[in-house]
Amino acid sequence: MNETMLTYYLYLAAFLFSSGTYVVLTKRSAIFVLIGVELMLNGANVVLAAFSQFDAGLKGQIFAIFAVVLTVCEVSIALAILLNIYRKTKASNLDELTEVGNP
Amino acid sequence: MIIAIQVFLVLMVLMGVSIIVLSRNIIHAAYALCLTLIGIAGIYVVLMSELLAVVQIMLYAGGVVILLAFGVMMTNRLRGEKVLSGSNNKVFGGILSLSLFSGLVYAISKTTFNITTAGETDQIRQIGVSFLTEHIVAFELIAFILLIALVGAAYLAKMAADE
Amino acid sequence: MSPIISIILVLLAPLIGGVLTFILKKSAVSIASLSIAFLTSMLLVFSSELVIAFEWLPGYELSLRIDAVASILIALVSFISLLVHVFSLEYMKEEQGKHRYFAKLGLFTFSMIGLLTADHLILLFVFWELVGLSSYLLIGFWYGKDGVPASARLAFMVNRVADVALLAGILILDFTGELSISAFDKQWLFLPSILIAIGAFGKSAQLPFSGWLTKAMVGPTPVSALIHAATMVTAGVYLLFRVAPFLHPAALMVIALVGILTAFYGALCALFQHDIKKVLAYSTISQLGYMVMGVGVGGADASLFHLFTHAFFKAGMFLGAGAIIHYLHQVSDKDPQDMRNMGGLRNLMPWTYRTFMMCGLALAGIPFFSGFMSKEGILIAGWAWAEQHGTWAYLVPDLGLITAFLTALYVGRMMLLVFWGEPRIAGFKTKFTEGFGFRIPLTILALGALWVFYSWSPFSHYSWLNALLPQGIEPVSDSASMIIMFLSILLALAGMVLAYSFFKPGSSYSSSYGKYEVERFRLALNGFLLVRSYEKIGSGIEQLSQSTFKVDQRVIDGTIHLLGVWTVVLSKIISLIDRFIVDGPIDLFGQISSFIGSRLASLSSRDSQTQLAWLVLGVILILTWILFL
Repeated sequence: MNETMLTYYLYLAAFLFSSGTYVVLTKRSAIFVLIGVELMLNGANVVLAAFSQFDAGLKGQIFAIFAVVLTVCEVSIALAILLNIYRKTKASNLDELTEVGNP
Repeated sequence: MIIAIQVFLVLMVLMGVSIIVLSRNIIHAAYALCLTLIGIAGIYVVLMSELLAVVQIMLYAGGVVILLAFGVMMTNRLRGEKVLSGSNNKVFGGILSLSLFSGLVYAISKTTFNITTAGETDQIRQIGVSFLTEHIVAFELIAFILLIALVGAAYLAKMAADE
Repeated sequence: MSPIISIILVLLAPLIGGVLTFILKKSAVSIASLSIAFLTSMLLVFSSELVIAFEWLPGYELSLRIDAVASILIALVSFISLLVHVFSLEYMKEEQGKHRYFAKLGLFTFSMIGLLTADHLILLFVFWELVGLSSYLLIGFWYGKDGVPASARLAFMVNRVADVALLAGILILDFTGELSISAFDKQWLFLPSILIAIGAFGKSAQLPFSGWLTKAMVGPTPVSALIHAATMVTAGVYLLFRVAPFLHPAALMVIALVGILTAFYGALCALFQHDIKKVLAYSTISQLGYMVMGVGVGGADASLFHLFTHAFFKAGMFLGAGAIIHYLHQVSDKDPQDMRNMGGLRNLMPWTYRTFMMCGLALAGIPFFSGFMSKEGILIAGWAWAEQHGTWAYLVPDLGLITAFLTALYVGRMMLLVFWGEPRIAGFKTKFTEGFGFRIPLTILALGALWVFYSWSPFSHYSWLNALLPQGIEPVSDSASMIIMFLSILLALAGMVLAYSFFKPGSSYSSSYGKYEVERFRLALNGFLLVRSYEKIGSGIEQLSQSTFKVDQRVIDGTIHLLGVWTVVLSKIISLIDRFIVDGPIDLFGQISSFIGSRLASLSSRDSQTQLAWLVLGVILILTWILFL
């Protein structure tokens, strides 16, 4: 593990993050957008894991584990909300949601 | 040998990401995400973060992807046809993410990291100890939040079911 | 008994009894409650001083205090109230709304006892007003009758005028120190002294407030006996002899003069009345004048004595008059209160005649009756005072003696006209047998007019009551007091004899009674136009306010109107300036910003992802700045 290798991992993380951004920005389906968010989070996690090789306290890994767990929470809540929205408005695409509150 | 494994894993990730970006089918995208996540878990193993890899496979590849698949099934009218997603702002979004990527790559390539490799240690043991000593509050809190999130999600879903 | 229980019993029993009477429609309840109050008050007489204090506001500790004088007077009030209740049972038997009457009587008794227990002047003022209110309610009991509401209102309003003075006096005292009667220690200034004295004059019907008492006679006669003879009107005297040691000497002099003038005025007016209740009312005014004068000359103890004896014999006379009126009301349609319609009642209502006679002799100041002793005390105190103040001051005891003569004269006239001779109108044949409801109170009150209850010697002017108050003045020499005693006996007998010579049965005055007095003595008949002067003052104030209203309407309203017109014109001009010079630039700015805003708004869309894309563009721009600049 040296500096060159670290740079390659960071390139991979940047790729993951940018791709996630693209997915979030362009895909209309809400599920797809969630997938994009996961990609971005994984990019961040790769950075954390890569840098934690140079840290004896392993703070990066610990933080990454926390991030993973939180992501699970986030996904479950987000899906429940999406389900609610779908039941109420029969909409599964983000650009169909233009109103807040009870229709 | 390790180089070959690394190249394989990176290719696996690249392929998964490409499918996600290019496909219109949500189910395909979900499975491609599974592929990507397993690839990243492999990369964690290469990076000697075994615990993180295990968590990644269990929670992400096992939990999140299945949740997403269920989500797709429940929020789309399934009539034996493909579940497709439209796109908008394709050009604008593409330009933005490309410029973001190039900016990040430029920044990484210009930076010199003055770092030294830490010594080999028993990482899993060390993480376990620090969870229960240094990060005990965060650890308890995250468990609590997980519980609340699950109960909350169940409640929200039930609310939807009651409608 | 603990002090709180006994005070509550004596104070609240009448009120609760009255309310219960009104609710349950049982008159016996109020008799029972009055009996409780009377028995408790008798216990209080024989127990030591009681004090209850509670803090009302910081610095204002209201206190109830029952000392020897208060307990004696409470016993008097509750006893006479009890007798009047018993009398009313029969007197008001046929009356609609008699339960309302008993409730009002209960309220009055409560207020009066409260007034006697109050030690703090503010508390005393509260009960003072409550007494005035219940008096108003009882005067207006027959509110359906012609003129009754107006009379009740007049009595109430005249009292209010005096109460304003009392309140002002209390407020001035509040500025200068204590308000508890028992805590006073130094002499007051002239102004609060005279203001408090004016308040007392109002309640005790002294000049110039005397007019209301004659107007109050439209109420039921037992009420007149209780309130307007025995108890309420003496509240002013009570207040005066409570505060007498602290009054300014000049104020005391004013009090003495007003008192004796009122006594003379009342006796003079009483001489010419036709209405039996008016005679008694003017007589009450006159006797109250004696008491007030007694306080003024430093004989507060004699005033207390006279208050006590007067309560008995005057209540007895009023109740006797009530019995007569009750009888005449039954047998004849004519005015039952007019003495011209009476005569010869001696044989028809013997019980009333005897008791009325005893009370009347006490009022006239005949020896062996209580009135003689107490009046004697006041006259002697006046004589002693005059000895200290020079020649002119002898006016006071001299007028007092003349008044004693007049008193005997009008008492003799009244008794001769009412009871002697032959009945003047037909129908006076049936003999009237008084029921026990009439007999018992009349008998008890008439016995109270005898001398033995006050002192063993019928010629003493010093009773056990005098010992309750500190004596304010040096007693005069024995020879002077002997002279006064003989003089007053002589004058009283002379008045009686003169009355007999004028009004003896068969005399010209007596037989042609209706004709001679009316025109010639109109002035005295109308109480020297005192009530008329109230009306004049009232209408004068009304005219004054009418004219000030006109001034207000023409001068002030006109000016304001003109000012208004000019303001409207000015504001029109200002609005034009505003619209074209001030609003123009502001509208311009508004339009510019709304133009820019509408252009900017088209950049953002309803679509959240597009908005997110713009956000990412911003992040990239910041990143670029950090990397390349």
